[in-house]
Amino acid sequence: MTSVNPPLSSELRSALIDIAPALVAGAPIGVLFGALADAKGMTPLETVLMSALVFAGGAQFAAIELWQTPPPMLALLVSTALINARHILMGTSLMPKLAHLRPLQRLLGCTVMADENWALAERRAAGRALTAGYFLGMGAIFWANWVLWSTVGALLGPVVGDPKRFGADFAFVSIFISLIVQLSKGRRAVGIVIASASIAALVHAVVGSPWHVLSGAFAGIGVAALLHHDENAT
Amino acid sequence: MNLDHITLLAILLMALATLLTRTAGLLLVGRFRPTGRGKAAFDAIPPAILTQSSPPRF
Repeated sequence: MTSVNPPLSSELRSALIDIAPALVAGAPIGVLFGALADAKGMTPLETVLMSALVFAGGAQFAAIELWQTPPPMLALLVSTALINARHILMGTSLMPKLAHLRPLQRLLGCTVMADENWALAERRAAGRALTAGYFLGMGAIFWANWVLWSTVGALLGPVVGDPKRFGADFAFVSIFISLIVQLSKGRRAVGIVIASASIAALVHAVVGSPWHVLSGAFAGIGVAALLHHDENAT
Repeated sequence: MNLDHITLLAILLMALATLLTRTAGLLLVGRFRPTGRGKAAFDAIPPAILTQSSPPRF
Protein backbone atom coordinates (compact mmCIF):
# COMPACT_ATOMS: atom_id res chain seq x y z
CA MET A 1 0.00 0.00 0.00
CA THR A 2 1.33 3.42 -0.88
CA SER A 3 1.19 6.42 1.46
CA VAL A 4 1.50 8.98 -1.34
CA ASN A 5 -1.40 11.43 -1.31
CA PRO A 6 -2.47 11.99 -4.93
CA PRO A 7 -4.12 15.27 -6.04
CA LEU A 8 -7.87 15.60 -5.53
CA SER A 9 -8.54 16.11 -9.23
CA SER A 10 -6.73 12.89 -10.05
CA GLU A 11 -8.68 10.98 -7.41
CA LEU A 12 -12.00 12.38 -8.62
CA ARG A 13 -11.10 11.43 -12.18
CA SER A 14 -10.24 7.89 -11.06
CA ALA A 15 -13.51 7.70 -9.14
CA LEU A 16 -15.49 8.84 -12.16
CA ILE A 17 -13.76 6.36 -14.47
CA ASP A 18 -14.25 3.47 -12.06
CA ILE A 19 -17.91 4.20 -11.34
CA ALA A 20 -18.80 5.05 -14.96
CA PRO A 21 -20.13 1.56 -15.88
CA ALA A 22 -22.38 1.60 -12.81
CA LEU A 23 -23.61 5.08 -13.75
CA VAL A 24 -24.64 3.83 -17.16
CA ALA A 25 -26.25 0.72 -15.68
CA GLY A 26 -28.02 2.77 -13.02
CA ALA A 27 -29.65 5.19 -15.44
CA PRO A 28 -32.42 2.91 -16.77
CA ILE A 29 -32.96 1.45 -13.30
CA GLY A 30 -33.46 4.97 -11.93
CA VAL A 31 -35.87 5.77 -14.73
CA LEU A 32 -37.78 2.57 -13.99
CA PHE A 33 -38.00 3.47 -10.31
CA GLY A 34 -39.30 6.94 -11.10
CA ALA A 35 -41.88 5.52 -13.49
CA LEU A 36 -43.11 2.94 -10.97
CA ALA A 37 -43.34 5.58 -8.24
CA ASP A 38 -45.37 7.75 -10.60
CA ALA A 39 -47.66 4.83 -11.36
CA LYS A 40 -48.19 4.31 -7.61
CA GLY A 41 -49.33 7.90 -7.26
CA MET A 42 -46.21 9.51 -5.81
CA THR A 43 -45.54 13.04 -7.02
CA PRO A 44 -42.19 13.81 -8.71
CA LEU A 45 -41.13 15.77 -5.62
CA GLU A 46 -41.86 12.79 -3.36
CA THR A 47 -39.96 10.47 -5.71
CA VAL A 48 -36.94 12.77 -5.81
CA LEU A 49 -36.98 13.12 -2.03
CA MET A 50 -37.06 9.36 -1.57
CA SER A 51 -34.16 8.83 -3.95
CA ALA A 52 -32.13 11.65 -2.40
CA LEU A 53 -32.76 10.79 1.23
CA VAL A 54 -32.95 6.99 1.11
CA PHE A 55 -30.62 6.30 -1.87
CA ALA A 56 -31.15 2.55 -1.63
CA GLY A 57 -32.51 1.11 -4.85
CA GLY A 58 -33.51 -2.31 -3.54
CA ALA A 59 -35.30 -0.86 -0.53
CA GLN A 60 -36.97 1.77 -2.71
CA PHE A 61 -38.29 -0.80 -5.18
CA ALA A 62 -39.59 -2.89 -2.28
CA ALA A 63 -41.24 0.22 -0.83
CA ILE A 64 -42.99 0.91 -4.14
CA GLU A 65 -44.33 -2.65 -4.10
CA LEU A 66 -45.74 -2.03 -0.61
CA TRP A 67 -46.89 1.52 -1.30
CA GLN A 68 -50.49 2.45 -0.47
CA THR A 69 -52.37 5.54 0.65
CA PRO A 70 -51.67 6.07 3.49
CA PRO A 71 -48.21 4.41 3.41
CA PRO A 72 -47.82 1.33 5.66
CA MET A 73 -45.17 2.79 7.97
CA LEU A 74 -44.18 -0.33 9.90
CA ALA A 75 -43.95 -2.52 6.80
CA LEU A 76 -41.84 0.12 5.03
CA LEU A 77 -39.54 0.47 8.04
CA VAL A 78 -39.01 -3.28 8.50
CA SER A 79 -38.57 -3.92 4.78
CA THR A 80 -36.02 -1.11 4.46
CA ALA A 81 -34.06 -2.23 7.51
CA LEU A 82 -33.97 -5.86 6.38
CA ILE A 83 -32.95 -5.15 2.80
CA ASN A 84 -30.27 -2.71 3.92
CA ALA A 85 -28.96 -4.83 6.80
CA ARG A 86 -26.09 -5.92 4.56
CA HIS A 87 -24.76 -2.36 4.86
CA ILE A 88 -23.78 -3.21 8.44
CA LEU A 89 -21.43 -5.92 7.21
CA MET A 90 -20.21 -3.79 4.32
CA GLY A 91 -19.42 -0.85 6.59
CA THR A 92 -17.73 -3.06 9.15
CA SER A 93 -15.48 -4.43 6.43
CA LEU A 94 -14.66 -1.07 4.87
CA MET A 95 -14.21 1.15 7.92
CA PRO A 96 -10.74 -0.13 8.93
CA LYS A 97 -9.56 0.87 5.44
CA LEU A 98 -10.85 4.42 6.07
CA ALA A 99 -9.26 4.83 9.50
CA HIS A 100 -6.92 7.55 8.19
CA LEU A 101 -9.83 9.79 7.10
CA ARG A 102 -11.42 12.42 9.33
CA PRO A 103 -14.56 11.30 11.23
CA LEU A 104 -16.78 13.63 9.20
CA GLN A 105 -15.34 12.26 5.95
CA ARG A 106 -16.03 8.70 7.08
CA LEU A 107 -19.57 9.64 8.11
CA LEU A 108 -20.30 11.38 4.81
CA GLY A 109 -18.84 8.45 2.91
CA CYS A 110 -21.08 6.04 4.80
CA THR A 111 -24.21 8.01 3.98
CA VAL A 112 -23.63 7.46 0.24
CA MET A 113 -22.28 3.92 0.49
CA ALA A 114 -23.99 1.60 -1.99
CA ASP A 115 -23.06 -1.86 -3.25
CA GLU A 116 -21.28 -0.53 -6.30
CA ASN A 117 -19.11 2.20 -4.79
CA TRP A 118 -18.46 0.08 -1.71
CA ALA A 119 -17.17 -2.80 -3.87
CA LEU A 120 -15.00 -0.44 -5.90
CA ALA A 121 -13.64 1.07 -2.68
CA GLU A 122 -12.82 -2.43 -1.40
CA ARG A 123 -11.02 -3.18 -4.66
CA ARG A 124 -9.06 0.09 -4.43
CA ALA A 125 -8.18 -0.59 -0.77
CA ALA A 126 -6.78 -4.00 -1.72
CA GLY A 127 -4.07 -2.27 -3.75
CA ARG A 128 -3.50 1.14 -2.19
CA ALA A 129 -4.81 3.58 0.40
CA LEU A 130 -8.32 4.90 -0.06
CA THR A 131 -8.47 8.68 -0.26
CA ALA A 132 -11.34 10.94 0.75
CA GLY A 133 -11.45 12.33 -2.80
CA TYR A 134 -11.88 8.88 -4.31
CA PHE A 135 -14.34 7.46 -1.76
CA LEU A 136 -16.49 10.54 -1.20
CA GLY A 137 -16.27 11.65 -4.81
CA MET A 138 -17.42 8.30 -6.11
CA GLY A 139 -20.27 8.17 -3.61
CA ALA A 140 -21.41 11.68 -4.47
CA ILE A 141 -21.32 10.98 -8.21
CA PHE A 142 -23.28 7.76 -7.80
CA TRP A 143 -25.83 9.44 -5.53
CA ALA A 144 -26.33 12.33 -7.98
CA ASN A 145 -26.75 9.87 -10.85
CA TRP A 146 -29.47 7.95 -8.98
CA VAL A 147 -31.35 11.13 -8.05
CA LEU A 148 -31.06 12.49 -11.60
CA TRP A 149 -32.41 9.39 -13.33
CA SER A 150 -35.14 8.84 -10.73
CA THR A 151 -36.28 12.38 -11.46
CA VAL A 152 -36.27 11.72 -15.18
CA GLY A 153 -38.30 8.57 -14.57
CA ALA A 154 -40.79 10.41 -12.37
CA LEU A 155 -41.29 13.04 -15.07
CA LEU A 156 -41.13 10.87 -18.19
CA GLY A 157 -41.55 7.35 -16.85
CA PRO A 158 -44.89 6.47 -18.36
CA VAL A 159 -43.53 6.95 -21.87
CA VAL A 160 -40.20 5.18 -21.27
CA GLY A 161 -41.41 1.70 -20.35
CA ASP A 162 -39.53 -1.15 -18.70
CA PRO A 163 -35.71 -1.07 -19.27
CA LYS A 164 -35.55 -4.83 -18.64
CA ARG A 165 -36.87 -5.39 -22.12
CA PHE A 166 -33.53 -4.30 -23.58
CA GLY A 167 -31.42 -6.08 -20.94
CA ALA A 168 -30.34 -3.04 -18.93
CA ASP A 169 -30.85 -4.90 -15.67
CA PHE A 170 -28.07 -7.35 -16.52
CA ALA A 171 -25.47 -4.57 -16.55
CA PHE A 172 -25.28 -4.59 -12.75
CA VAL A 173 -24.92 -8.36 -12.65
CA SER A 174 -21.97 -8.22 -15.04
CA ILE A 175 -20.34 -5.48 -12.95
CA PHE A 176 -20.73 -7.53 -9.78
CA ILE A 177 -19.39 -10.70 -11.37
CA SER A 178 -16.31 -8.75 -12.44
CA LEU A 179 -15.84 -7.36 -8.92
CA ILE A 180 -16.26 -10.79 -7.30
CA VAL A 181 -13.52 -12.17 -9.53
CA GLN A 182 -11.22 -9.27 -8.64
CA LEU A 183 -11.89 -9.51 -4.90
CA SER A 184 -11.72 -13.31 -4.66
CA LYS A 185 -8.23 -14.66 -4.31
CA GLY A 186 -7.25 -18.31 -3.84
CA ARG A 187 -9.10 -21.61 -3.54
CA ARG A 188 -10.84 -20.54 -0.36
CA ALA A 189 -12.59 -17.72 -2.23
CA VAL A 190 -14.20 -20.28 -4.56
CA GLY A 191 -15.71 -22.04 -1.54
CA ILE A 192 -16.95 -18.74 -0.15
CA VAL A 193 -18.63 -17.76 -3.41
CA ILE A 194 -20.19 -21.21 -3.94
CA ALA A 195 -21.51 -21.34 -0.36
CA SER A 196 -22.90 -17.81 -0.56
CA ALA A 197 -24.58 -18.36 -3.90
CA SER A 198 -26.01 -21.78 -2.97
CA ILE A 199 -27.50 -20.71 0.35
CA ALA A 200 -28.79 -17.45 -1.12
CA ALA A 201 -30.52 -19.33 -3.96
CA LEU A 202 -31.99 -21.88 -1.55
CA VAL A 203 -33.29 -19.28 0.88
CA HIS A 204 -34.65 -17.17 -1.97
CA ALA A 205 -36.57 -20.18 -3.28
CA VAL A 206 -37.85 -21.38 0.10
CA VAL A 207 -38.27 -18.20 2.16
CA GLY A 208 -38.01 -15.37 -0.35
CA SER A 209 -36.40 -11.95 -0.53
CA PRO A 210 -34.76 -10.16 1.29
CA TRP A 211 -33.72 -12.99 3.62
CA HIS A 212 -31.48 -14.55 0.98
CA VAL A 213 -29.04 -11.63 1.11
CA LEU A 214 -27.94 -11.97 4.71
CA SER A 215 -28.30 -15.78 4.68
CA GLY A 216 -25.94 -16.06 1.73
CA ALA A 217 -23.52 -13.55 3.20
CA PHE A 218 -23.32 -15.36 6.53
CA ALA A 219 -22.93 -18.71 4.75
CA GLY A 220 -19.89 -17.38 2.87
CA ILE A 221 -18.45 -15.82 6.00
CA GLY A 222 -18.98 -19.07 7.93
CA VAL A 223 -17.26 -21.12 5.24
CA ALA A 224 -14.33 -18.69 5.28
CA ALA A 225 -13.94 -19.22 9.01
CA LEU A 226 -14.21 -23.01 8.69
CA LEU A 227 -11.73 -23.24 5.82
CA HIS A 228 -9.26 -21.11 7.72
CA HIS A 229 -9.46 -23.60 10.60
CA ASP A 230 -8.91 -26.54 8.22
CA GLU A 231 -5.87 -24.96 6.62
CA ASN A 232 -4.24 -24.38 9.99
CA ALA A 233 -4.92 -27.94 11.07
CA THR A 234 -3.14 -29.49 8.07
CA MET B 1 -45.54 19.52 -7.03
CA ASN B 2 -47.29 18.26 -3.92
CA LEU B 3 -45.69 16.77 -0.85
CA ASP B 4 -47.98 14.81 1.43
CA HIS B 5 -46.93 14.96 5.09
CA ILE B 6 -47.59 11.27 5.72
CA THR B 7 -45.57 10.35 2.63
CA LEU B 8 -42.75 12.59 3.83
CA LEU B 9 -42.81 10.84 7.20
CA ALA B 10 -42.61 7.43 5.51
CA ILE B 11 -39.65 8.59 3.41
CA LEU B 12 -37.89 9.98 6.49
CA LEU B 13 -38.42 6.68 8.35
CA MET B 14 -36.93 4.77 5.42
CA ALA B 15 -34.02 7.22 5.29
CA LEU B 16 -33.38 6.83 9.01
CA ALA B 17 -33.41 3.01 8.79
CA THR B 18 -30.99 3.14 5.87
CA LEU B 19 -28.70 5.64 7.58
CA LEU B 20 -28.51 3.47 10.69
CA THR B 21 -27.45 0.43 8.68
CA ARG B 22 -24.90 2.48 6.72
CA THR B 23 -23.29 4.05 9.78
CA ALA B 24 -23.39 0.93 11.98
CA GLY B 25 -19.99 -0.08 10.64
CA LEU B 26 -18.50 3.11 12.09
CA LEU B 27 -19.72 2.16 15.55
CA LEU B 28 -18.83 -1.52 15.35
CA VAL B 29 -15.42 -1.43 13.81
CA GLY B 30 -13.47 0.12 16.66
CA ARG B 31 -14.82 -2.38 19.16
CA PHE B 32 -13.06 -5.50 17.97
CA ARG B 33 -9.91 -6.39 16.11
CA PRO B 34 -10.34 -9.82 14.53
CA THR B 35 -7.45 -12.27 14.22
CA GLY B 36 -7.08 -15.80 12.86
CA ARG B 37 -10.38 -17.39 11.96
CA GLY B 38 -12.25 -14.21 12.80
CA LYS B 39 -10.08 -12.24 10.38
CA ALA B 40 -10.64 -14.86 7.67
CA ALA B 41 -14.39 -14.47 8.17
CA PHE B 42 -14.05 -10.69 8.14
CA ASP B 43 -12.03 -10.72 4.92
CA ALA B 44 -14.71 -12.86 3.28
CA ILE B 45 -17.39 -10.17 3.64
CA PRO B 46 -16.82 -8.48 0.22
CA PRO B 47 -17.17 -11.60 -1.98
CA ALA B 48 -19.89 -13.07 0.26
CA ILE B 49 -22.01 -9.92 -0.03
CA LEU B 50 -21.31 -9.35 -3.71
CA THR B 51 -22.44 -12.85 -4.59
CA GLN B 52 -25.96 -11.87 -3.55
CA SER B 53 -25.88 -8.52 -5.28
CA SER B 54 -28.32 -8.33 -8.10
CA PRO B 55 -29.97 -5.33 -9.67
CA PRO B 56 -31.24 -3.06 -8.46
CA ARG B 57 -29.94 -2.89 -4.90
CA PHE B 58 -28.04 0.17 -3.71
